Amino acid sequence: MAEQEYRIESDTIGEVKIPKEALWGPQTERSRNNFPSGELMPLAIIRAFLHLKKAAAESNVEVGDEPAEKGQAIEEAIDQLLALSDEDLRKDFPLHVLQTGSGTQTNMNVNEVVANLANKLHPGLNILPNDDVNRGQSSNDTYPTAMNIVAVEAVDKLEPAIEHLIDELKVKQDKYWKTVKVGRTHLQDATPLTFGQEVSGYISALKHDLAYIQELKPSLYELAIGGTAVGTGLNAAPGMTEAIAGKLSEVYGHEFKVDTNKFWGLAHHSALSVMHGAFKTLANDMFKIAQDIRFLASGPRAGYGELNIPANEPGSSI
Amino acid sequence: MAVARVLGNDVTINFAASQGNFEMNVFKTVMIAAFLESADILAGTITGFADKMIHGLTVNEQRMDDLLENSLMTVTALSPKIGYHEAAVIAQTAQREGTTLKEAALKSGKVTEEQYDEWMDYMAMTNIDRTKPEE
Repeated sequence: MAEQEYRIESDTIGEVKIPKEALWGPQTERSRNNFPSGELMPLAIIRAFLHLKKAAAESNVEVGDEPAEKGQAIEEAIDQLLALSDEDLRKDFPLHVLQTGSGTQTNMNVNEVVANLANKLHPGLNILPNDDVNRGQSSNDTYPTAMNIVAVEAVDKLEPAIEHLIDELKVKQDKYWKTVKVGRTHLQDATPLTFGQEVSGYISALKHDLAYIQELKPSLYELAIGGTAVGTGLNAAPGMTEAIAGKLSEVYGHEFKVDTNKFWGLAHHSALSVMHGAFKTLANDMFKIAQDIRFLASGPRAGYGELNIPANEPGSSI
Repeated sequence: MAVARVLGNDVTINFAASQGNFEMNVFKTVMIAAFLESADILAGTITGFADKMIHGLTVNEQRMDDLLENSLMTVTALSPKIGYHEAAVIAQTAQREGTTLKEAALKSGKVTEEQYDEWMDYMAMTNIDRTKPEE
């Protein structure tokens, strides 16, 4: 019975037992068993990888580095995968964040799943994970490319949240522009100000944080793709990388660029760390604002009691 | 708690970003996972804070007025009129004797009731007419 649930496949190290119905191959299976702990690889990264692999297949066909029928089969497989719900997509991508730090096994997971599905759809084409789906690419340039793409997507979602909070705060600023109250410095009583003035400080902090994020964002548009293994671009066909950038820019609506230093792209992630610095700054400001509201709303009888906040949930004791 | 997570992620990301050797950084996967978590929880908690907290927020004007009336620090407005030292003595006297600022001010003999009421204009102290709201 157990024998029927597995199939045997080989890679360059040897034979691997893989669940019979799994679309992934031996490299994924090895990683799944070797690195079983921690959170799973975010699906946003898998989807970015799929878009990248699709753009790469199309580009390889365009520059004459991949037969059109193979390229089309790869694209067809990827379209099917992209159409899956998160729940269904996860079934094919079981790897964890804690794996090889280069993301090699997630790159191979994508290559194996896409190749297997393409072969199912078009038996006889013999599409290979490394030679075809990964053509002209390396984990070393695809993974950092996917990182920047998902980082841009994440920033796209964060920006309107900040703008929305600014809008809500403006309503309160304007409504209480002339409501005078005690100011406090060092937690000690100080001279008066209005609640509107106090809120305008919050708004300005958030506007600054949003501006920092917007200023740093273009740095994330610089993609590592085309660097391949060490940044030299060995095995990537001329023109392929520029074509990929154009296709990804269309998919995501951002001006991704590839004329950037690949040795930096593979070995440094400055754009991510500096952007997260802006996230941290935003978090610091949000903490200050939330603490102010929390303290000013303390009470009702034994606190500052200056603000009334909405009752959203009951407590447990009284 | 969300902020604690973001600050923790910042440590993870900074450490990960420093872990390049020669031609490649090999802390990529943990770095981007931490980055995505930060962006996600910031966007989520900021949206919740806007809709569930700020949207329904109101002020307790009575309480603000009471605290202001009891405040001793409004004495700062008297400073340019009667000098910092005299103003400070009035505030200290009021605090020591448990009186209002006005009682201590009148008792000091440095201000008349008329002057006190004119100078103790809380709204004027905010310089509201010289402050611009954020747009």
